[in-house]
Amino acid sequence: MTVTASDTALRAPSAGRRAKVPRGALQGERRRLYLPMLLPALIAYLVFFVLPSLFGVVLSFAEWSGLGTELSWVGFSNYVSMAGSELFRASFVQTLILTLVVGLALFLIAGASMIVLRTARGSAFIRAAVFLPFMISPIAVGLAVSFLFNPDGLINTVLGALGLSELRQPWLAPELIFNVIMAGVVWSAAGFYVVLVMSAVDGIPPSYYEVARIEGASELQQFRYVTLPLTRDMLAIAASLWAIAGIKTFEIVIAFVGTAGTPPPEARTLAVEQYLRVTGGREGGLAQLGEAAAIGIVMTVITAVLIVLSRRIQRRERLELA
Amino acid sequence: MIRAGLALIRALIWAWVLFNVGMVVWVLLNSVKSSREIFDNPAGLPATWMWENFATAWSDSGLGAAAINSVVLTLVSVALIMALSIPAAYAVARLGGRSSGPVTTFFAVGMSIPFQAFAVPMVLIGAGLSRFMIDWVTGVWDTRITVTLFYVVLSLPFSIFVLIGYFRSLPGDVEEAAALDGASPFRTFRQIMVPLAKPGITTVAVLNALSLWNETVIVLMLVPDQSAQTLNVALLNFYSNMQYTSNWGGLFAGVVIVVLPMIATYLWFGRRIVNGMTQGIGK
Amino acid sequence: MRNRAIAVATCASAVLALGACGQKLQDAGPSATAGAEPANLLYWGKWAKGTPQANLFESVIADYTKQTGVKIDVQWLAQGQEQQVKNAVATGAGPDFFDTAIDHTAEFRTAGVLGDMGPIFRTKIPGESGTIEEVLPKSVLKAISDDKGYGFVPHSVFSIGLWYDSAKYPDFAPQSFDELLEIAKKEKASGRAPIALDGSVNAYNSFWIHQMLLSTAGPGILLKLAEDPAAWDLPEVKRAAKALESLVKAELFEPDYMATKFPAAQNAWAGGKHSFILNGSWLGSETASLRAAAVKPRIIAFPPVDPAKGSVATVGALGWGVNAKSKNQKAVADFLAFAMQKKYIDRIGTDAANIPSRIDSPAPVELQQLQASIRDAEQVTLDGDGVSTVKPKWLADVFLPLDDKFVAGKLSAEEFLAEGKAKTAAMNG
Repeated sequence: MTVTASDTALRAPSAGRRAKVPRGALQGERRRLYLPMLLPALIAYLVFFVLPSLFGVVLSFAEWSGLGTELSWVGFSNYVSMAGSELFRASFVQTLILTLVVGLALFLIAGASMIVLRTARGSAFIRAAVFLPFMISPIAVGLAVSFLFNPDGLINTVLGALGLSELRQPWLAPELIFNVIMAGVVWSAAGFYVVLVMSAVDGIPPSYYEVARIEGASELQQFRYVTLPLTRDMLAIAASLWAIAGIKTFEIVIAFVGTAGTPPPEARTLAVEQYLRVTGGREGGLAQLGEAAAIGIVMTVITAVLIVLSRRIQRRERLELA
Repeated sequence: MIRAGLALIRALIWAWVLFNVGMVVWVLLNSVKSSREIFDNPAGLPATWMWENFATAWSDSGLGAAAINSVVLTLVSVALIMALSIPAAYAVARLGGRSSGPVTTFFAVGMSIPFQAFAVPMVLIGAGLSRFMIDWVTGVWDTRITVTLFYVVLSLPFSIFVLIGYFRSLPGDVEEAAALDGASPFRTFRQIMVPLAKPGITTVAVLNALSLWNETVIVLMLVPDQSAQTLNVALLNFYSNMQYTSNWGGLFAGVVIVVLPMIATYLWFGRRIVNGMTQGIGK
Repeated sequence: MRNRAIAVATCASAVLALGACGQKLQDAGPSATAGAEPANLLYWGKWAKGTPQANLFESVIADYTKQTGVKIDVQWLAQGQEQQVKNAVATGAGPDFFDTAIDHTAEFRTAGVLGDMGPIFRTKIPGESGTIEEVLPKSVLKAISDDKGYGFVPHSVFSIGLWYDSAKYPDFAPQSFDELLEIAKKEKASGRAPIALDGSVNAYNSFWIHQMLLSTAGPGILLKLAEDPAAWDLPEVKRAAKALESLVKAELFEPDYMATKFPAAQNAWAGGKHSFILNGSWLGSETASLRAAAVKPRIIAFPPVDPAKGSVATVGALGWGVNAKSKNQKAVADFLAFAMQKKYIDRIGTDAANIPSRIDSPAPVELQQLQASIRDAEQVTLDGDGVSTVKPKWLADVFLPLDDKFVAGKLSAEEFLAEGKAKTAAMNG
């Protein structure tokens, strides 16, 4: 009987995916509905988002400081100078490290929450609380950082009080700042992914779990045979979303180290590097929109590769399961 | 062993919850402290409760008009986003044949486009659009409409992408049963699949509402007039003038004014998500 | 009232758009039909409502309208104002005049916003004998100019200097950097960290080496370092680097200064925890609400590393730029001359606690020594020698990261100079 429960669970989504409905007239009706439902969104997206964005591609071959200034075509020189720049390479590597390390942490946290939160008491409250960082303005986060991580801030004070003085660190110094920022990204992003995957867990009919429980499945087994297969699509979505968000990490870096002045090279991500080009490095510097656009192209390409990769992996897993 | 592991996970999650709640309390306390106390006595209770911080924040940064702008912009945009993305996502997830894979990727790529690459064309389109409307169509134009337009199109990729995943993960047998009962495909969508997808739809709507509520850059670029700007921009203006006003207590009061409605909304919707689940399954 | 609000919003969007509305309103409006009536002006400011400056300028405008009948429509754009001015002017519209500062002159100039401001500076100030040009100190006039002339009409001046606590040091007047070093060392020996520094703000770190370079190598030295790798070998540059090295080695900055979160260090200074901080003249008003009762802040020009050389003042300014494409040049000039009256500019000191631009308007007491230094300076330079507008990439990618390491004590003076030379050569080659 245990087999039946997991069997249903496995079959349900794949049946949905293939949309097994009676062929013939009804199938035709469904086909006819496809375009009217899709087109309004697709057209709006195409006209007001995709086409304007292509302008960015054009811009990456130019040198331009914005409206009113002269635009000159420079071919691939924005890309060439990017490849030769130590700072660009550093921010490139840092962005990838951040995406991978934080992504792994997020995956573990989301998985743990899926096991524990479905049945936990006060689950709605927990979800709301872990989601809070998403709602709090970066201004407040930036101020809280100084309260926690300053040399005489709360963390060092607590460590001192616990007799762990040797663990006290200058957390925001250039050597440590990137690790602190990664921890900050985990803190601020985890709630979002927990809420996202939990919305899929909520969509699983409770009867599946009842059957599994009656069969004597433990919490871990329920996770393995009911939750995981039924939320596979949402997990894949979450992974893609993180790949996209991770590559674009920006605001939290500014909140941690950029509320005045520019973030140190050790803390810069690609998006920060791009932002510095758009604003000209500091107040008053001339914008380098061509270079910024070239960085944007690189970011888009990396993300696209990651999305395609994750979809590949997903498809392979699906084949193995089938 | 497994039980101990689960208990540890529970404990860690509760520690995380406590930390976040502590941070909110910290912000709340700072909003009723004097500027000096915020830095001198960051962790304790305020010596005198400075409720007037809220009054200064409200009057100095024009939060009143900004609050109305924020509410209207967020509600209208989210309604439009959902109206466009729910049918589109359903179509791709359930009705599309071979084209649904590429279409999904096409929308996903939109999420990866960094905003900075989009900013300049956005300003140009915004300018052209209002001139066109004023010269040829309506005679008047409000930049807030332009903001809504870009809010909607910029949110579409995320919304559609997540909803596609959601519609895909719904059990297919319900749909089949409805079809066998003779329901038309559109009726199946409207009366069965949408209610079934309610937790996902609510989640996407709430996530959109929260991120649009917090949005600043687009408003800054498209709306020059302060009386037409949103709460977050007003708060940012307030912050950037700290150099001249040094009103840190007022700044925290402003943060509270901006954040509290969101927390309230979210808690309210949090309950709705659970309700939506039971409704959706029809138990 | 409601209609007006809509009209303003619409106009703002259209002005931003392509000037259609601005011109239309003026074509159709009463001011254009009746030739004798004065033109109305549009002003895009950057101050938030409620700031002392916004209040001051609003009252000046009210006075002006009462006297002349000219209406001035103020819109406080705050954040992103520069970008909006540039976009609007580029599309053929924009305000008649707008808020700007020295470090924005280059971008406004490049975007074609600024024209020849000579006639405006030669406008006579009503009720006084002089013109705008004549009431401003030479050093300020020089600072606000580029190779095409004046960039804007300044109302406030700021500078970089050494803040100290005059309650603790009533007769503080070090004649050289070495004297300052001795005073600070003495204070450290008594168990206090003498100098506050928000080391996570790289611009603040760079104040140190720049102020030292100014006294050994003169104004424009940062530009030279950016353009010519050989400049890194100059003995004057080495002398300044050695001076900074000695300061870092003596551990006179507060502990873990590279890891403080802005504004922690400046607040600690205002609270009396440290005696000195090298920062802008704005720091006094910026930290006013956080100041300990016993602290009496004062600012002086940074004591020279090489006392034998003449003084160099770092001068910045805030003021009003004029849209070169505005059709109301004369009306703008008249208003700006009106606003530059002593009674108004005095209030920059009294209301806003900044240094007023006029030579005869007194600064608040804590800024008076610095104001005198600016007035009497033999040479002037911009903050960071203006390198942020001329060589922003070099500054952000080469100089500031290197300077951070140097200030942090991770590089010796020799390493700093050698790496600076190599990286500058790599970037320029």
